[in-house]
Amino acid sequence: MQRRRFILASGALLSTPFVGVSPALAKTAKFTPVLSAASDDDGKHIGVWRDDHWQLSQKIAHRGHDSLFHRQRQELVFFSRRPGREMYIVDAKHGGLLHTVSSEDGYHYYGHGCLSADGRYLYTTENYFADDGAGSIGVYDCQQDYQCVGHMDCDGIGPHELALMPDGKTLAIAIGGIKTLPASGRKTLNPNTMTPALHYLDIASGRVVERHAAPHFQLSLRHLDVSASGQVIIGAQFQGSLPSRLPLVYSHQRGAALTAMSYGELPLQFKQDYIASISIDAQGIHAVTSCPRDNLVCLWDLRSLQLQQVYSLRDSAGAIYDAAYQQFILSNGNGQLMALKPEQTKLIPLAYAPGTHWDNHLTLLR
Amino acid sequence: MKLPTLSAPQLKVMTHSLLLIAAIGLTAACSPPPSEKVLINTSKLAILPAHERFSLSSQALALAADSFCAAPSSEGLDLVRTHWRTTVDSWSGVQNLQFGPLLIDNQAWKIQFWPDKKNLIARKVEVLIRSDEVLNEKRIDDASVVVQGLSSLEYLLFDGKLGSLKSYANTDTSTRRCALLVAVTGHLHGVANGLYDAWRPESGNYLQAFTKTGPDNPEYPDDNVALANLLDTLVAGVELIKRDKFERPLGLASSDGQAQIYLLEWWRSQYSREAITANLMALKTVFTAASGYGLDDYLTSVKQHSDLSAQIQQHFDSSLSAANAIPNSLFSSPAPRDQAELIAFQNEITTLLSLLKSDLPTALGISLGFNAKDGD
Repeated sequence: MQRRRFILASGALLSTPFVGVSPALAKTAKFTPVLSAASDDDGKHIGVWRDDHWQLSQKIAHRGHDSLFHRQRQELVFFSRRPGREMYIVDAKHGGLLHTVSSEDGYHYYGHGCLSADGRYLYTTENYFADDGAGSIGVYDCQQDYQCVGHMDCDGIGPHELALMPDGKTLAIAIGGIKTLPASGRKTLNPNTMTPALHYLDIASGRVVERHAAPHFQLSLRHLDVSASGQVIIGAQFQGSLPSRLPLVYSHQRGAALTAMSYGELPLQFKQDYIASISIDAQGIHAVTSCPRDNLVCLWDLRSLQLQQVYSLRDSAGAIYDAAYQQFILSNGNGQLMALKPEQTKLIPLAYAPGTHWDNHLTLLR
Repeated sequence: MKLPTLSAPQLKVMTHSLLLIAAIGLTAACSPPPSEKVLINTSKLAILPAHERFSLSSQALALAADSFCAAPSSEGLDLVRTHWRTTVDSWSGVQNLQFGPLLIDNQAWKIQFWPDKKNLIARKVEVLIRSDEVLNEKRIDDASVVVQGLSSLEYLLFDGKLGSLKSYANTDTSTRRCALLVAVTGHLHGVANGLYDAWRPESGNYLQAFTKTGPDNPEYPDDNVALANLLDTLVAGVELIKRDKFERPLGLASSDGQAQIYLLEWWRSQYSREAITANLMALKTVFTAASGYGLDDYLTSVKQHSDLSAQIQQHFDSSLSAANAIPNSLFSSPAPRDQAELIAFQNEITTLLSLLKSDLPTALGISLGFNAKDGD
């Protein structure tokens, strides 16, 4: 309650002053503006970064996580990181804070959401902590000020990222398997009995219609993206003794088994077994995964299901495909935004915000 | 310079400030800012020499293998083994770098395959020897990383059964075993020299990329981003020693931990402790930029943390002493939990890691990894 008041009291979104980056850079390297959560000496923010400055930015009480752009409604949605209970709806044109939505009693957000095919509903992954941490999908009506209109049981603990399948009827949900309760903060309560999985939920019936257990009970499946043809790429974070030497990125097609993406001929050794963001390009040819703990970004070939190229990027975070410039945009904890072009072996700097730590996920404003 | 006519006090003030301006200008021209000085000194006095040593020692190893295979003898084999140890020492000075050429296409794997949980090295090396493929550097480069580098050579030189003179002299496979030894040492030298070249100002000049930061530098937009990589190197290096090279293989990670002795680095040659010592010396050199202006001086003169600077150096030294005080090889320790020297080293390395991981980032004002530390 206090938090909500704080947000309202801080008023409309402020455009923060110019943050310096070389004009030369801004001229040569172009990218579509991105939504992100970030932290700096000033505190925690959500906002939109364009070229070399915050186009709009808003202080929030604690860390944000993912976001989405509702194109039809020209609204931005920012999700709190677990165990946050707020969602911020922002006017994309003028930057005003339209609503602060709070999770229903007994629920908190996991930090991700997606829209229904017609844009009417928003689906979010939630922890029904009042029911001993059962995983739940919240349903919000975008036309009714994002009012919560119900919950669906996703039949797994710790749902994290979710995406709408191209059929427009099914949600693909990464079931992390990690049980936490607000009373014990972010502490994992079930390290030895986790059941991470990939679940498909039929929206009309609210039922899970297909499920695939992770290859190891501690291989927490947390992030995913779906290609236009329905190929799901899902990434893991290992919760056991490191390194696991287990494959961390899997490809999936409805009806088939989970297939581990191969490292092929490229010698790759993860030490920390932690995949953060996943993004697939518009053509379904490449996927990018960020690995902040190993200071890496991996480019995967989706046709051969093999690793194509590895890039070094310290504390890599967000990854999103920017079709307008045929590049992936990457962010990191050092304040860098970089472009990854699959045909190039080096990353290209796009922008630099000294002292800013970009949070794990990027969304495109397009 | 001709000064306009001024009263004496005015003149004095003016001269003074002009001198001051001149002095500042001079300092700026001759001496870079402290953060850049750290980058330059650490690169030139710690990192570049470490790469040079690795390149040279791998070359000496390749030459020794050539001579040995021309006329196999027990002295010749001893000499190859000695050069292998020297090369492991020098590799230990490069191994922990968390940035730059070593990270491109994961070069480290071509040099060392570890841990080898499934005993792949022995299997793949023997399969290659028993095949009828030509054994040269090109073939090794195309082969799996398992048969490349120091780990494969360790098997060839130290395996209890097949790493002896007998295997190189009087068996049906001795010619091929020798051909493989020569090819792998030659290939290793190629990799080591490639890394050195990538850093050298006369060649790839990563030195410049790392030290001349700024908006036009594609990798390092400012000094802090580059300094963060030195911090990562120190933390990751000491963490690797503590966790992977010591506690986990010896079963000291938890109170009920089981020893997994074949996870030790360099267990076949029983060179695990020596490699830890070489790591620690190299990491200390990264911290101090050898005798140059390193992170230690930067902490003292810019960040006003001379206590921490001294503490870190002391704990590098005491960790080194504790490692050197271990009388036996780690591989042959019968009951690690009961051996006082091992516990003493564990305590030292734990303190050192905590200084580097908790205190140093705060003192430098550099985050160890925002998403890495606490993502979601």
